[in-house]
Amino acid sequence: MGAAKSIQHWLRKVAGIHHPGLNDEDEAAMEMAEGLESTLTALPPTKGRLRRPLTKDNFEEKLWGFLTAGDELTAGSVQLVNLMEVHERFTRHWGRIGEMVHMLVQMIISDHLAEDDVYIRLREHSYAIVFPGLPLPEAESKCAYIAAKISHYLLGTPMETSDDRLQSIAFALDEAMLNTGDSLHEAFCQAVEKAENRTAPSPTTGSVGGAAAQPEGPAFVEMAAGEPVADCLLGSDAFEEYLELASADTGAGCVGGMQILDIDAVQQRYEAYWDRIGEQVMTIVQMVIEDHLSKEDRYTKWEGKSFLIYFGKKSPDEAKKVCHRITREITKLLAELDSDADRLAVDHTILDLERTVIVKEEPHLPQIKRLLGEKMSGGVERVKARPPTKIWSSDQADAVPLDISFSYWPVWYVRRSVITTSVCLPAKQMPDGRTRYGHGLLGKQVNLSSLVELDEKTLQRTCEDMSRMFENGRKALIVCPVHYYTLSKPDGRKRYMTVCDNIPEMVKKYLSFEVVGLPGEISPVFTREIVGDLQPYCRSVGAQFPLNRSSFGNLAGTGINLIGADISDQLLPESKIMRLMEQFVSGAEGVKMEAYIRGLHSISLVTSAVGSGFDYIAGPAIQEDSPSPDYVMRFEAEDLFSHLIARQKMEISEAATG
Amino acid sequence: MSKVLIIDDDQNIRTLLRVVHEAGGYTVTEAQDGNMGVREAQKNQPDLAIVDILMPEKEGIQTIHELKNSLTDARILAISGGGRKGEAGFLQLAKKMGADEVLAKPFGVKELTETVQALLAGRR
Repeated sequence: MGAAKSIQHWLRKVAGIHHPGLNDEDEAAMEMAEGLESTLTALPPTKGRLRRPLTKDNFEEKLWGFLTAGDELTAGSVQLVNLMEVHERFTRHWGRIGEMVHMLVQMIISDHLAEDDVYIRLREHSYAIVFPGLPLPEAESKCAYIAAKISHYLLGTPMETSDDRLQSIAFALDEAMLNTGDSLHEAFCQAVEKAENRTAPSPTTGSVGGAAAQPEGPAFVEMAAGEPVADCLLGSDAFEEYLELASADTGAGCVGGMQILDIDAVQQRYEAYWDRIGEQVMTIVQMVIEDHLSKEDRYTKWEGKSFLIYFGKKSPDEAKKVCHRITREITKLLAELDSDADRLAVDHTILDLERTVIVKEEPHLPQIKRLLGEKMSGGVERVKARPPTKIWSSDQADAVPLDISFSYWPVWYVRRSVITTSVCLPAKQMPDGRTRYGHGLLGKQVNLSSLVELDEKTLQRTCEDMSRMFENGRKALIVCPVHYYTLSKPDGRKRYMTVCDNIPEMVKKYLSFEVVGLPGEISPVFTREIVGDLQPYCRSVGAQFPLNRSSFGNLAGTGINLIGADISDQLLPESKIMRLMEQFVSGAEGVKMEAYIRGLHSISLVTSAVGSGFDYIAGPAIQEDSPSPDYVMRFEAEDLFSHLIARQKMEISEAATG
Repeated sequence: MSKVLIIDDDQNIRTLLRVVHEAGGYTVTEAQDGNMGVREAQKNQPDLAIVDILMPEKEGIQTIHELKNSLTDARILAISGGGRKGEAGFLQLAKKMGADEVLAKPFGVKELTETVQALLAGRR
């Protein structure tokens, strides 16, 4: 069975075509198993790796890169793929198949992206694809092909038929976006909206594509167009409201069974790969839950790791039995997913999946309300926990007794040939005449207090310089290093967060943190906690590791999106460093992260870093004590080597005279 | 008779280049990385060095830079297929760093021999 046919076959099955002779439950189980099996094997293969849509922050960063890439400023184009047609076709079952449909769409889009192309999921049912190197007509043709392919797989239209129902004309990347006072993402969304209004579909092209045009015939269309059923997955507020209504209906409290399905262990089991398959796993879990619900039942997501399920007409015992059936089904389907592990590059660790889904009872409304209330008030209290203090006066900053200066190092974005950002490094001239950077300037006397002080002062200086730049109408992305040791200790983190609380809003949009010294064996949960504390204050968080590390699986899902190494102190032979660089980049690519390298001290290492595939490399200091870095700009390739060549010439000259 | 030095870590490429150039009447020497190449150049003073860019030990850009310092009279031809991501623009970089001509792999024998002849003719 071809991939497109197989997918439509599965969609028809989950959409409700009944087989005579089977009761509803048997049939649902059979359909689900068949559907998942055929879907997992029939999805069209991605030519390259599956590229997920960017997050808002990453997208904004990419846009920034495109828009500031000099002469390519207005070359790029944006196209929209709108899935409303698909959604309308499968409205009744969207809760069950929606995410799977999105995954299929993402696979198709991935297959047609060039290296620099990016896309983002906008709203519920659309994707914006940015083709930074294509003018509008070419981008339109490419997007038309993507739309036709999606239409072919999901709506059954012939592949050679251009399907403009899914594609909206969009707009050229425009310098005007840079001049907006809002965030780039907001400016982008406004531009999308404007383009959509400009090209609103005519009544003839805006319909569902005509039931008669569908090859699968009227029976399926009739069922899909039947009376809509309320979505049984509710938000926590709607869930509570539904329970209230159920309670009021009976006048005797909340009857029915309430169960908590805890999938924390499932998430932990796939922790290292969650960014790649998490959505698929969650879709499977939700599909199974929904398959076992009747029209009086509702469920909600519970703190990201559990589902709270209300069975409207079942006793707690019956509800528990259903929940155990759900557990078994999930177990079986996840085992199938595991068997597909090679394709997903998942470690084939055999675990007893039966034990990974835990069912708990939670029978009464008051307890649910209490839990919902606790969840909300807990969040409020946490925000209030740190009293902000004003520390931005330069007097106070100067009061920090560290005798240091600061140096900005440019970071070259190799693929786009721009200086993309700068790193603010504390620096100190040592008695032997050498300049030390970062914690190296503290010598061997490193303790928590001095390290925190160094990090505080670096952040203060970064923010001061950035604020000064903004006042002068300039902008630049700056990386501010912070030590893991500072953040891992309660006192250190509290002090650092106090400084963070005073970062101006404008600065946050252009500031990235680089966590230095993150241990290799750190728990992902703790990493996520640290990163989570930093994220509200910046646009992204990166982390620095030793060059000999090549596995970064435990960083997936922690919020870190850039990993790098500093080799300035490496004493290994150059050939060994080159091999390590290759392995480091491969490891970073394995978890779909970008990689950077700092401290390149020879021409060979610079070339090798570029050849190894590092996305970013840090060059020489702009100047010894830079008051502020300049605006993002292009660089010439030889700039990368100029300081190294000058140094080499000096060494040759000294050797000749000495 | 002109002397050609081939610096490439790929044995097959070295052999191919040797066969082509010996057939053309050149004297050929080989080196498998930049370090050996610079030593060989200092020893034999070639008229032309063909340098691959991405090699272990010492790669091409550094090698070209050093050859330029030690061989004032030799011509340099840089060859490369690009890095893992093919985005580095190594050959343009090599030209800026002192290569007299560049060829992107894969290249044809005719293209190679014409380029080499033109480079050596220019030297005279």
